[in-house]
Amino acid sequence: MTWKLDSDRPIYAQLLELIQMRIISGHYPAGSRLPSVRELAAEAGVNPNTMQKAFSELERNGLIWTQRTAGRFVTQDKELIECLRQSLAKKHLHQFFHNMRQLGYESEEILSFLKAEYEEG
Amino acid sequence: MSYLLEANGLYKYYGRKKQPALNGLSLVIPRGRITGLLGPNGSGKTTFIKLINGLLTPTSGTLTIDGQAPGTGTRELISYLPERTFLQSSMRVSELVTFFSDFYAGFSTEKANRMLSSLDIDPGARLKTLSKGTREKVQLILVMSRDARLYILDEPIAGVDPAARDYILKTIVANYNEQATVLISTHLISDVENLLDDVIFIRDGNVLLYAPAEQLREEKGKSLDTYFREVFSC
Amino acid sequence: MLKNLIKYEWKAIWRVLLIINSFTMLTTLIGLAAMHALDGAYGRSINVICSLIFILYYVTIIGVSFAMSIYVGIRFYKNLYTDEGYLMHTLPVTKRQLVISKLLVHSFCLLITEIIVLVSIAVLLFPLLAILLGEPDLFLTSLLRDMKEMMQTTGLSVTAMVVSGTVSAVIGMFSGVLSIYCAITLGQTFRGHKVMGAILCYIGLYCLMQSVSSVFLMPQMSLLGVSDFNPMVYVMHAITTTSIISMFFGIICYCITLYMMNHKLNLD
Repeated sequence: MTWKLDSDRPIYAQLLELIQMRIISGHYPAGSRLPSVRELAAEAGVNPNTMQKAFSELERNGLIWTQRTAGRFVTQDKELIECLRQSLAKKHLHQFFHNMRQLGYESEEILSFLKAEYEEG
Repeated sequence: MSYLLEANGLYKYYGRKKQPALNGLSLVIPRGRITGLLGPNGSGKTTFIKLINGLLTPTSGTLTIDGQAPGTGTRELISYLPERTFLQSSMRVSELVTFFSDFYAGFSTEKANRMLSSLDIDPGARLKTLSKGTREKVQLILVMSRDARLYILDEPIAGVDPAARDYILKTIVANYNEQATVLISTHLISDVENLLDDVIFIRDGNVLLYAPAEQLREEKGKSLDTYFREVFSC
Repeated sequence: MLKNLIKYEWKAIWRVLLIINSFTMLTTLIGLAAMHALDGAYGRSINVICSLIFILYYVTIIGVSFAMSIYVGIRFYKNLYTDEGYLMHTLPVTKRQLVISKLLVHSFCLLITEIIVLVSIAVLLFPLLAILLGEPDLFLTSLLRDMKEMMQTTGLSVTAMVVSGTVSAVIGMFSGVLSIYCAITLGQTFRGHKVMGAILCYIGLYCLMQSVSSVFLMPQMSLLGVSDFNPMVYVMHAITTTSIISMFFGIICYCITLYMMNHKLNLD
């Protein structure tokens, strides 16, 4: 997994999304220990302060937690991760339907598109 | 705590030239930031950096680092990578490591050797026998192996290939001490912009803009590189 | 820190010192070999060969001192006022330590060069002159006897003369090196023509030093006509006067160099 960052948008928000994605996809499994801010920052080629800011936000959401001596861990709470996963899925679906409607398709048509796409692939 | 660096009304004239290289530049740089000093060639970046290092004498104005004027007392505080080969090219890499550890109290020989071996650089090689990119990496490794309050990197990625560029930027992030400030001067903004806390745009020897990088991105809705091109286009 | 600076200065210069001095040793060996080969032979052609060797030798011993001084200047310039200056001037050392470390090592190199020249003269030039002038033993013994007589009339012991000679040579060496530094440092104020500026400054400093010396030596020179004049006394006076002048001169050059480095440094 690479850190693909877009310089047009705030880096912190993008880091937040990327780390969430890594947690949902199991790249960082529930309960596992995360690399240090410095390591991740070096890996992503970003400022450690920005990475720190993203981590703080994730901590506020309860997705990761800090143990003073041992470092940072992904939450054990699989439900929370699942919840995040579903909300992201909903967001994508929402976006998808929104885009398709803008192209002028009705709900029925969109569903048949989906079906066809599913059977093809 | 006072600012790490304070510049007040700095003027620098070269010889009889009418146009000053620095035209009353004033700014303060706090601790613990990665700051980009951005501007086109001839805007005064290198002049400012040389003044901080005491390699030039200002025509007028004051400058302090950690409260001290540039001098013997500030040498241990600043780790400086100039934009040129500043090491004796007849020396071997291992001799250069010893040289740095002999002079700088905060130099970590172990750190330097670890980085050199991770890059497969032969410690017995003389600097002049190495390629330009490798030479620049050796210089960067020596500079980043010091424990300083202010790292000043003048065009650290100019003229090296993209792989070396990545390595250099990663080395900077991985090695600077967190209470320290890193001042990176460059005109290759797109390569460093994700690294920066703050940006200073400098033009005609004066500060045009000094702002947090994320704030600029959010306000302008574009990358620093794009914004820089707009500001400096003629 | 001074010790470290001296260490690295020595590391940078010892090879050059060796190369330059090997010229003196080589010419000395050539001379000795030639003399051996010619031993017992005589005639006009021998004198011509001897003269040629003498000229080669003369050029070499003048050349090595000159070459060493030039190299000292180049090293000072390159290490402090070109790209390498970016490192040297940002080391946690004082400007005084920078100058002193170079001064000690460079003066030592020049001193070694001169000593080797003197030793070489002793082993080569005296016998060579003796051959040129005829009977070997007669020439040397009479020369030594004359010198001894003259020294005795001054009331000074041989040791005292040797010591004062050495002291004045060392002072001369230091002040010579410092005037090179001073010229190079002043040359930095010439924008765009810094090397040319340094050379001009050196010529200026040299002329100044020479005129000051001659002004002070003039009164003693007038003694030359007096009937009971002792050349040894004159030489001793001249040595003392020149040493004092060159010591002052060296101190002034040192102060100018340090002042310029501390307050007027402007690296390209």
